[in-house]
Amino acid sequence: MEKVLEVKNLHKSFGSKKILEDVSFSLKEGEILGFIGPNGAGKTTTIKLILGLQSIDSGEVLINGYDTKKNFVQAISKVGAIVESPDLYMYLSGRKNLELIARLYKEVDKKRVEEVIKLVGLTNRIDDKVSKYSLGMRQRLGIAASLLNHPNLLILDEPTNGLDPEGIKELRDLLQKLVKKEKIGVLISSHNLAELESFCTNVCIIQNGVVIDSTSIAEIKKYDIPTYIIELDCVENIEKYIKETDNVSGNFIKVTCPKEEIAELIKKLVKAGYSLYEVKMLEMTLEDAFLKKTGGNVIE
Amino acid sequence: MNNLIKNELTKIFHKKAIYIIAIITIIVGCLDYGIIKLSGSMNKLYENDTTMKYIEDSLSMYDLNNPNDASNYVEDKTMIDVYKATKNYSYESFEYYMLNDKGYEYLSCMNHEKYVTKNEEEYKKCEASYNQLLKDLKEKDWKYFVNQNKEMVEEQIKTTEASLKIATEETDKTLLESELKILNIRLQGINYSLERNIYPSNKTNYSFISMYEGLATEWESLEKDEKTYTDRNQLLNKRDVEKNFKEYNYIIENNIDYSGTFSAKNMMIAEFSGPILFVLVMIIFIAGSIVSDEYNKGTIKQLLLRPFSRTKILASKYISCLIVFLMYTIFYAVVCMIAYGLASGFSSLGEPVVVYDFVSASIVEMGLIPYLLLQFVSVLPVYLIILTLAFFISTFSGNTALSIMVPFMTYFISSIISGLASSMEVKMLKFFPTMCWNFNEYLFGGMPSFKYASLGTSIAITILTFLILFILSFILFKKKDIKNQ
Repeated sequence: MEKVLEVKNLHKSFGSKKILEDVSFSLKEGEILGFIGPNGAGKTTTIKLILGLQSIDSGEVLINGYDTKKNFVQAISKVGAIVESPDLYMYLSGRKNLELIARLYKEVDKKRVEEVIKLVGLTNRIDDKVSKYSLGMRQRLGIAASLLNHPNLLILDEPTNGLDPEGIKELRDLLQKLVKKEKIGVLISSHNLAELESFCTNVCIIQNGVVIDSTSIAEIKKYDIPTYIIELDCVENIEKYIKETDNVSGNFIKVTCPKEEIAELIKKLVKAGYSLYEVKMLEMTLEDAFLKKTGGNVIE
Repeated sequence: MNNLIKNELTKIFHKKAIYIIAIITIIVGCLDYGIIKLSGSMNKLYENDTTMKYIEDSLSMYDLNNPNDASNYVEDKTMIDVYKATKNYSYESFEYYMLNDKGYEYLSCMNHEKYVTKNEEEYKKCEASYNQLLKDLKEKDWKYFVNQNKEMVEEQIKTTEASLKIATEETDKTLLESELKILNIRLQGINYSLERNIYPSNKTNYSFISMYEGLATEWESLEKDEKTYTDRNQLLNKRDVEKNFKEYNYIIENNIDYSGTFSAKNMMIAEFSGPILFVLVMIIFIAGSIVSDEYNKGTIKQLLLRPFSRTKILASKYISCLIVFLMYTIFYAVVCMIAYGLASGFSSLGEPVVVYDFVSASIVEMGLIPYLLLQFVSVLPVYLIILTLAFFISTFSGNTALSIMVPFMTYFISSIISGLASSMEVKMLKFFPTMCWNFNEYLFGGMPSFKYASLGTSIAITILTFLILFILSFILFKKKDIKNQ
């Protein structure tokens, strides 16, 4: 798979204040990279450096193999992005906004404009002024605008801001469809790890301008050992059967162990004459797993 | 690049504010129309029954034995008499004019003889002339009066020519010669008014004929004046007289229509002789917001993500400002033409403009539109520097309020500085950009009113100022970091 984005050793400071230090990561076609960090970690600044909106102190950014410093026009021509918020001309209609952008690409025609309008489901309201749109609709129009030029790199900065759960689900479905169909790479930033769980194939975690972890979701999920809660009729002598790390509270016990072991435990408990009312597996979040992996590094 | 410019224009033309400015322009245009219409009857407004009644009532307060009071009494009484006599004529009519001119003379004489000198005989004479005038006004048309005048001048010319033949002394000769010259000019003026149907009235440009005579007399003495002027103001005055006399002379000799001060043509020329405030308002508004608005609304980010270099993006914005500036100037000119045309007739717009060119010491005749264009080009640096200043501040500060305010301040301060420069005669001010940017005075070999100004320095300073603002805008824009919101 081709690398659509390569970020190498980015440094950036404003005055004496260091914003980014040695930030590197890369993104391939078909990947969705979650770029995660608390507010003020340097996510937006990194994205602005990638897009050439701010100057790079040192390091380089390659988009589809083009250096953004040397070949900005080629590098940027297959990029779609929303930075901070969908920046639209409020006094123009949704369609006019898209038409203005379409005019700046040779290969984008009227048909493509209609296509993206349909894709984000704005057909009914597209001729209204953007100032009359809700935040969610603006977000969708912003995504439509960023898809106009058939990008193979899509950069979305906090796209879930202002979206309701339904909207987030729609966005996820849309992105997954795009990634499969058009083979694009997506960089998506958020301060909320849990929210991105269902979106991403990879994550890159940044804090205070430094990348602290960059890995695949699968890798993190390795640390995903499930926890079970078992309800019993009584907990007398239960210590014999469980490990010291497990908890007992009331008639509940909380056990953390791989799948195979829990089956054995249940058998033992039944043999010993306990009555089991319920065995429930607790879902573990990406955030929990990440915390486990990094040993309790606080994200928010 | 073309598409970038198209986009910028789309954005500009979707802003409501520019339509508001355009509408204000039209309203002011209509006001101009009203003012021109009104100014014609301003005097008439003042002379109404109430004021006349008041003056009449106060007549009794004068003591006729006091010589001072007596002359004031005569003055006021004559005014009332003229008012009563002209009451039934319109302000623009020929009769109104004649009664105010000759009628005033006779009535004044009558009152003087009656109340001051008390000379019955003289009074009768004046009264007879006055009655003759009233009779003639009823029976004859204006040509009768002008022809009467013409005959008189022709008679004077004959006698002067006769005395010139028998004159022996050189000084007498020259004196008679110049007298003859002026009489001929007067005759020329009369013929012109007869041919052009410029009858004596407040409506036609009859005053032009008498001004022409005045200028001729003045120029006759100044032309012979060979001395070089040490006082600049005297020299400027001489050139002024020369210019006006030559222009009037050309108009009359070539039988070109002279349109008055309030004619559409001359109003247009006056309007375009300097920077137009409304055009400045428009360009400051457009250029001052075109970049900073995008910073403030965040839309600059989307714009910079397109496959164009920053130089091209900024250039497209600058070119769009220029396009709007030119379009608006044309719009403004058309609105003015329509307003002035409606107020004082469209015909004068087709008449040629007559200008005296000091370089070739001859008259240049040109169409109104080329002349207006020439004037526009001569003040173009003012517009361009103000536009570029607004654009520069907009680009580097991102603050729309600042980028609109500073160019305005610059423009208003510029007039204060030029006032200072001419009153205090500060030599160094010739290097000050706003002292250099208006080239209107230099047209047709004109002399700048500021003593130390020179064309070369002004051109150099103007180009330098423009280039600094223009190039700095691009350098700063290329380096600009788009800050987080």
